[in-house]
This record gives sequence, C-alpha cells and structure tokens, in this order.
Amino acid sequence: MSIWEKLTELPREIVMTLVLLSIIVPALNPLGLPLMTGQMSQDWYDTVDALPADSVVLFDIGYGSGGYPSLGPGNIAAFHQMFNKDLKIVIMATALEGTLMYPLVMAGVNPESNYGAVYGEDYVFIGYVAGTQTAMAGVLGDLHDLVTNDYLGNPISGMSILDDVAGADDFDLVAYVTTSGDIAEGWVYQAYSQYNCDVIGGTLSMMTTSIKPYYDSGQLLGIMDGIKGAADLEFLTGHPGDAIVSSDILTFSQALVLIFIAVGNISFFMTRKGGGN
Amino acid sequence: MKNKVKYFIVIHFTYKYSYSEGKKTMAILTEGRIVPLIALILVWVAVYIAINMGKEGKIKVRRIAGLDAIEEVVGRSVEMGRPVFDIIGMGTFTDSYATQTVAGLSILNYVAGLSAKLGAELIAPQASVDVMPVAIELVRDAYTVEGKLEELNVDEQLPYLSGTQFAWASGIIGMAARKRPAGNIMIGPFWAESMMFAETFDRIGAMQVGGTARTYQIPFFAALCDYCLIGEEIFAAGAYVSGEPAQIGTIAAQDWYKLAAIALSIVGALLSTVGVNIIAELLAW
Amino acid sequence: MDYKRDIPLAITFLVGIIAIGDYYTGIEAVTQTFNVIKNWGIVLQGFALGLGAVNLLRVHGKRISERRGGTDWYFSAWLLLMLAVHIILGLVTGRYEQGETYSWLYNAIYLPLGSTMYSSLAFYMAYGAYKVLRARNFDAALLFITAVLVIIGNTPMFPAIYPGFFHMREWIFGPIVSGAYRGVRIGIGIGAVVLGIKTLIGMETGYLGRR
Repeated sequence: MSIWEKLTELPREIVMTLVLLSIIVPALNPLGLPLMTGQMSQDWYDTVDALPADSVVLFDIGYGSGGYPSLGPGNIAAFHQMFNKDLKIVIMATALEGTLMYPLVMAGVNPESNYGAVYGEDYVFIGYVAGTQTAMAGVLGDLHDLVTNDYLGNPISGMSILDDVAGADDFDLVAYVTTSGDIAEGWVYQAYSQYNCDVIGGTLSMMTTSIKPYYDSGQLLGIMDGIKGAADLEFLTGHPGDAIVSSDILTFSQALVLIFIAVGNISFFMTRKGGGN
Repeated sequence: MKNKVKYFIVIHFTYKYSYSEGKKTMAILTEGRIVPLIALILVWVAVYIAINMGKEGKIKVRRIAGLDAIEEVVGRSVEMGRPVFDIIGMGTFTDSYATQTVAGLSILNYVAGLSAKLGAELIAPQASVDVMPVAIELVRDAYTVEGKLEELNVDEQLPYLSGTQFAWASGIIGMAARKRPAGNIMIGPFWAESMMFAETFDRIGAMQVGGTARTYQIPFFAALCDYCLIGEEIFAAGAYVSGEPAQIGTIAAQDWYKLAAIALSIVGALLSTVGVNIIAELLAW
Repeated sequence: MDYKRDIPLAITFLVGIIAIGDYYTGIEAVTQTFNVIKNWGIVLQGFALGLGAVNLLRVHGKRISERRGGTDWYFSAWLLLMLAVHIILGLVTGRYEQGETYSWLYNAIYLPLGSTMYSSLAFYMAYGAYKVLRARNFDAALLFITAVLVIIGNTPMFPAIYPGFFHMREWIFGPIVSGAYRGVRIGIGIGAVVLGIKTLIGMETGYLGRR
C-alpha cells in the first residue's frame, strides 16, 4: 500500500485522536486567538442595548444538557447584558430540561450579587410550560391565565415584575436560546407573526442555515449562532467565559478538519494518478 | 369510511371584524388564513382527482432509488445472516413531526413484511412510548400476514430504549456495535443523533437508507448513507412501496402543488422585482 | 362495515376537522373543543410514560432473571437501579425546588453524559468530512469547494485575519443555501399536508397499527 493510499484510508482512530488533541491543547492553554464578531451577534447585542431600563424581556430557555456547552455560555452572557441594562426578565422554559439549566445559568450570572437584582422585582422564572407553540401562544395571550405560580411555587400575582405584564403587548422583546427547530421557528410564528413582537434567537450553529431566512426577512432581529455567537456575545458584553475559550478550540479543530480534507483530496488524486482505486 | 366521499364545501364570508386579544379576526374565518384555507381545500380536491386518476392507471411515478433499495437492504441482511435495523426516529403522534413518524411507520410495516417473508431478523428500537404500541402492532400484523408470528420476539426486536435523545442514541449505537447489522433503514424525524447513527452503521459496514424531512439532518444522511430520501420523498414512501394505484395517485397531487408553488414563486419574484407586490399581498390575505 | 377500522378512522376524521377548524376559523366553540382534545392528549401522554417504564422493567427484569449474555445483565441491573433511584429521589425530595441530591445526580451524572454524547458529534463530523469531502466528480467537487469555504468562514481566526472569508460564508448562506432550503421546506410542507389529508380520509392507516 503506497503512502497515498494509506493517507486516503486513515483509520478513524488516528483522525479522532488528532481531533481530540486539537480540542484538549487549546482548552488547557487558551491562546487568545483573534476572532471577528459576526453581524448577527452584533445585531442581537444592539437590539438589547437599544432597550431602555425597566423594559420587559420574555426569555425562553429552550435547551437541555446536550446544548448547554454550546448555548449555556451565550445564555449567561445575554443575561449579563440584560441585568446590566436594568431590564426586567421574565424567564420561562419550553424545553423540559430548561428548568434544570436555569440554576446553572443563574449560578454563572449571580444577578443578586453582581447587579443587585431582586427575584420577583427584576426577574422571575415561571418554569416549564408544556406544549411548545401552545405554551408560547398561552404566555403571549394571557400570562396570568396560563401560569399562576412561579417555578418555586410562589404565586405570581404578588410579584411586582408581573403586575403590568398581561401578554405580548407588555413584552418589549422576546428572546430565546434553543437547540430545537420547533421552538426557534415557533417563537417567530407566535411572537412576530401574531403580535409583531421584536424577537431575537440563539440556536446551534448547524441550525443557522434554517433560521437565517427569518433574520434576512427581519422577523428575527439578531441571532446568536452556537458557540461562535456565544463567544461574540461574551466579547461584546465584556464577560469572557467558556465560549471565548471555546473559540480557540473551534479554530484549532476546524483548521485540523481543513487539513484532513486537503490530505484526503491530495492523496485521492495522487492515488488515482498512480492507477489505484 | 368509503373512498368515494363527496365534499360539499360552502364558505360564508362574513366581513364583520371583532377585536380580541389584539388580534383581528373575522366572525367565521381568521384573517390572514383565508388564502391558506382555500389552498387546503384545493389540495383536498387535487388529492381526490389524483386518486381517481391513479385508479385509472393514468399516474406514473419515477423510481425512487432509496425506496427500491430497501428490498436490497433486507436481502443483504438475509444473505449475510445479520440483522436489519429499522429506526423510525424519536417523533411522537402529538408533536409537529407526527407526519414524519407516520411515514416511518409505513416503511416499518413494509420492512417488517419483507423481513418476515425473507427470514431477516428485524430490530426496530423504540424511543416514543405512544408510538411503540402502534409499531409493535404493525410489525405483528406484518409477521401474521406472512404466517411467521412465532418468529417474532417483540421484547428483543422492538425494545423501548428511552425517550431521552442521547440515552436512546447511545442505546442504538450499543445495539449496533453488538449485533453488527448488515442493513439499516432510518426514515422518520431525526435530530443530532442522525450523524451518530449514520457514522456508526457505516463503520460496521451496514448498507444504509436514510430519509428525513428535518432539514438540519438531511445533509448528514446525504453524506453517509448509501441511499438518501430528501424531504417530501419520505411522505411518498408509504404510497410508493404499497404500489396501490390510488396511493400512487396521491404522489401526483404533491407534485401538482409543487408546480403551482414554483409558478407562484417565479411570477411573484418577477413582479416583486418591478415593485408589484400583488402576489405577496394576496397570499397574506 | 368493519367497526374496528371504521370507528377509529371516523374519530380521526372528526378530530382532524376540528383541528383544521380551530386554525382557520374564529369560532369559539371549535377552539374550546380543540383545547379539550389537546388536554386529553397531554393526559394520555402522561399515562404513556408509565408504559415506557413498565416496558423497561419487563425487558430488563427478564434479562436479569435469565442472567443472559454473560455479564450483560449487570447493565440491565444498573439501569433498573438508576431508574428506581431517580424516581424515588425525584418524588420524595423537593416539590417545587429540586432536592439537593436530585440536583447533584443530574449535574454530576446526566448533564455530563448528555453533553459528552452531544460533543461526540465533533469527532463524527470530523471523520465524516475527511471521508466524504473529496472531489470525485463534478457534484462532489462543488460540495467540497462550498464546504471548505464555509468552514474557513466559520473558523473564528480566519475572518479576523481577512473579513472577506466571513462575507463569503454569509453570501453562501444567503442566496444559495437559503434559496435551496426554502424550496425543500415548501416541498416538505406540501408532502406533510397531502399525508395529513390521506390520514384524514382513511388512506393512510399506519398510525392505527394496521395497514
């Protein structure tokens, strides 16, 4: 077997080991490689930045354990920006595991110590609402009719943050972070199409191609696309975290993939030139 | 329910606006959904016409390589003495992917019939508790028709793994690694696990037919499966494999509507380019 | 008349018409009826969860009692143990707030496992890209060139050096990918509608468990 044939048929163990190294090395030694913030993340940041203090944001945590490494850092950065701007945040979960992500995210934001936020006045978590689009329609239609207690069992009727919030007309912005296409598109249908709300969304990178048409048409005002978008948001908000570290990992691993692709093609053509299959 | 049903549709337009919850609605029909309702009614009419044309043998459809290959996949499994997997995805009957789940079940029934007939061991792991009883019933039916019900072990061949994505994915990957199937058919709604399945079964050397209408996952199937069904081909799958003329006719209804969509798109794009937005305004009515 | 087949089909047709009526009309009675039906669906799904647990207990209990497959039955025992632990802990500790132990179980076991499985996609994709992205013919060459341009635009460092890479990626995503994606979505939508109609008129009976 010639060297070219061997390079055409590299065992997956070698490929995956090299990928593993390309992930571990920058994770242990972050290099701070340059990154360029994308326009979609910039638009997300600018949309939130344009809101005056005391504006009410409806925020959906629509992901679970699988999406946390990609979207959790971006979620944390988004909350940092919102608490910093003194926005009121009504947090909900349309994903079943969203309720389990909430304490992890809040541990990273720590709104009480960092921003002096008070639960019930500046933010509230109403918990998991079943039904995806049915849930969205319910929250935007009549929140108090759909939900009577928050996630901790406290009645929401006594919370000042929700005193003047009945439905869609009272939300200045709808934001979501999700790994589900159903949830991502559902918010566009329910919030933008039904009520003309401003909507921004965070999704995995592989979902960007599907969600981008909504951004291009103006239905979504900004997109946080995966770990890259999360890194952009961390950079823009000035709260570097796991996502920026991950951008180094992304650079290394994707560069390695490009090298593998080049090796695969060169060896393929050299093998063919040499008369092999 | 007989096939010949006459639909009498009378639409009353009552132009009486009432405001409720910030949404304008007409008394009978919801504003912004009139054209979609008309389109839906026309689809019903098209399906009715297509079924009749199909029964008269006037509809012919092209070969869909992926669906034709299913028999080859099962045959390969028989020859190699290894099982064949049929994975219908994680969808349920109550989510927005129910139609894909139904499509997957049609293929499961077909594969079960082939497996029973040819003597292949079918493995169809389940992720959804409301779909599982239906899948079991379909497979049992298929084996009963072939007179091979005693060869079916439901607990081993249609096990419930988990409703959680990666628990289910790791279960199937583990089963694949242990059982080393010769064939894998994946038609239904798939999420991130699609890439894992395609790569795992490819590593084992299984012949794969993959199909999903979840657009995010189509590229992974297209890259790694031997045959790939893209988008709406999975909805035609049940009709195609049944071979019934009436069912074949319904595939034509799909294509007629696609032609209408293409025509509207071209006309609308040209008109919008010159500043005439009549198509967009009409469709929003 | 085949009652076993016709009655479920009639129920399907009726519920389908109510669902269509709910979406396209503003008739309050139809909306309320459909809401009741949706609630029934949620309740039924809750019961179905129990069915999954029973199936797991039965299948894995059998494997344990038969000591099948060498040491494989250890894994079945572990599964049932974890199932029991999670159910008991979840029910016993905490009602609105998660119990500390349950939180620990989730954060220490389930969360890392789920994240790991998701992260393993990176390895699958890397190997898949190496194997598949080869310019064997014209179509494959187009795929290869497009994929390489998108990967370069997606890698954080390269656009930082030359922003043109990012704009190139955006252009590929824009007119090319979005256009194709919309075409596929329209086809999928039409296919789903036709399948739905076939289901309503009784041509498609797979969901009933019989053909």
